[in-house]
Amino acid sequence: MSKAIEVTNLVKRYKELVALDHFNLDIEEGEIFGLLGPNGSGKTTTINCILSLLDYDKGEIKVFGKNMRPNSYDIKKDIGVIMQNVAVFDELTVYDNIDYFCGLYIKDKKTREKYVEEAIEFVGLEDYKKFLPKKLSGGLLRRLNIACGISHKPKLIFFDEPTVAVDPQSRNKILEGITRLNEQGATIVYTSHYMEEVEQLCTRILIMDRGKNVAMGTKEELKKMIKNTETITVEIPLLEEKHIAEIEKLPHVYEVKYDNNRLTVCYSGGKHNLVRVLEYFQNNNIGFGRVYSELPTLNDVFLEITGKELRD
Amino acid sequence: MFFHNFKYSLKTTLKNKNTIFWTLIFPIALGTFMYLAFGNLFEDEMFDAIPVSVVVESENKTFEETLKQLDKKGEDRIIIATYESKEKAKKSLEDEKVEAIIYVDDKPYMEVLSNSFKATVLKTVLEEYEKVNKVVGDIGEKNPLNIGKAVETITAGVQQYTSKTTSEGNQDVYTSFFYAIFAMSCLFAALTANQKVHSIQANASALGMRRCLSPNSKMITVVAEFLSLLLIQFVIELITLGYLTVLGVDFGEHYFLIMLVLLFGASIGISLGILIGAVVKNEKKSEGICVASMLFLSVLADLMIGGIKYTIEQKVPILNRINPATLIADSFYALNIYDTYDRYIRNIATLGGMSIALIVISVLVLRRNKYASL
Repeated sequence: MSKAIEVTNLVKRYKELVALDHFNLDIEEGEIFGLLGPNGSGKTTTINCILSLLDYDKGEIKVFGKNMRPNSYDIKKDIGVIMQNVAVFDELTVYDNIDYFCGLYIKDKKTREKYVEEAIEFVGLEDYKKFLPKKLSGGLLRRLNIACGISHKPKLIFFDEPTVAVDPQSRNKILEGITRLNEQGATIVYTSHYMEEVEQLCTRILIMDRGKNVAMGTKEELKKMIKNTETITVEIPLLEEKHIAEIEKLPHVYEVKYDNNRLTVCYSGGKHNLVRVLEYFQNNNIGFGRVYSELPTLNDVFLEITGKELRD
Repeated sequence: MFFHNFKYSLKTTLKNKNTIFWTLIFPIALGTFMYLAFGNLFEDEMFDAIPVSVVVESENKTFEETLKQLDKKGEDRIIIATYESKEKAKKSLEDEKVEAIIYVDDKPYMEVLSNSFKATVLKTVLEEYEKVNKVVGDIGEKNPLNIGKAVETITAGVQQYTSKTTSEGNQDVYTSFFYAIFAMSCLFAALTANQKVHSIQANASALGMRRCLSPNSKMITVVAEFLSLLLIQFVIELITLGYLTVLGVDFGEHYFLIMLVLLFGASIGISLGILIGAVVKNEKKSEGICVASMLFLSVLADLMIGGIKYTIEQKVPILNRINPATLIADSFYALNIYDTYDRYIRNIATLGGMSIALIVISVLVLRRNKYASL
């Protein structure tokens, strides 16, 4: 598979602040690639450098195997961008907005009309074609923003936090749409600080922090990088110290906490951990309430690697 | 691609009701106000010759001859001169028997009690004499026939303020006020242009960022925006011209040439706005600079208060040759005062040349597609 994006040794400074610190990235064609990191970690800066909007101090960027420059129009025609901020004309209707942006890429009028209709259908704005943006809800506006970025059928699409301040219904529609675009052959670069979205969508994920590549791989590969494989939480009104000590000795347990009538047991590997801990309670006549079993999240990966939460 | 950008630039501007309303309403409202406030005043009041005292401080035959010509009885009489001593002249001025004391000297000057309309006319007499004297040299000594020409020019200048005319231009005294409105209206097109140019820069707006990502040259976008704005602004100026004509303001016979001034005037306003928007990234700051620049240029061109333009002509004449506000107003002036079109053509050519230069500079500034920060 050929590479859609290659970033090598990228350095971007804003005066004293190093926004990207010898950053490397490879994205294969056909991937849904997630850039995950807290606010200010350098996700948007990375995208802007790749798009040749931002000047950078050092490094090399290739898109579809060619060096990306501001006037690389042959590359730009295959790129679509859905930015964090809605970028549409307030004076134009939904249809005209999409037609305008599509027309910047597609010269043939008939093809353009077809693409515009398809984009409208894709984002589900058929009933709002003649609406001005100010008449649309936040979610619908985001969908219009997406339609403006994808109407020319780009091969590489950047989604920069497309679901910020979006209602759940629109959010699901957006995420489904991204999957469909990928199925139709587009390479997707998706940035977010919502780890659930990234986990749900992306085939490969890069975790960023302070302009550096902290970890990269599939979500399974990322989760294997950390010690924790499962966390079981049990509501127990009263638990003696000796039982806590016993539970610590169970196979694969590496940490046990008992706080506010909740027992938290952390595992590193092993199967049937839940069965084993419940058996222990039964054998020792320990009454318990609700039980939760959680697999590690990308937040846990981030927490273990950087020592802080993704949403700090 | 150009027509696609042009079409949508027209659409976005025309659908921006705020912009259209204010761009159109400003000249029409101000024009209506001027018409209602001064129309009848000038119609009713024919110009009367102004009584002045003349004090000879040192001999200046040319100027004395000029005064004599201006004092000739008849329709074109500008002044009623009384030669007297300085003391008597001061007394006459204090008693308001005369409007001013004109001192005959190597460099004539005058003394007035207040900045009245008549004082302004007299000031113009001296200014025009200075100008002509500077251009022709020793008016009387080299060729006494020049005095006649000088008086003609002075009279022409004075007739900006009186209801008399020397050419086939307009007859109305106060038409120059309307020309000032046109000049300012053209210059204030800069504000709309300034807004527009922010929507094509990645470091100024999200919309600009999206437009920068398209596979198109900045030059096409800038030129399309410029021409669409020019078309709209020109139509607005024509509507204003039509409205004022219907209202009864007499713009003379040179309607086509007036329209040409409006076209070039709108063009310079828009290109200035584009350049300011291209250089100043912050939209609010940029708007502020636009307004301040336009007001400043208008003040220098005497569109708001009088006198500065003359001082500039004395000290830094080049400023009057390149100030767009002066050039627009002066084009109207030249059209209605002079029988030849030299001055008019020079002004129009300068406006056109400057517009092209400003657009080229703007494209060069905007062409830098990569930014240090966004």
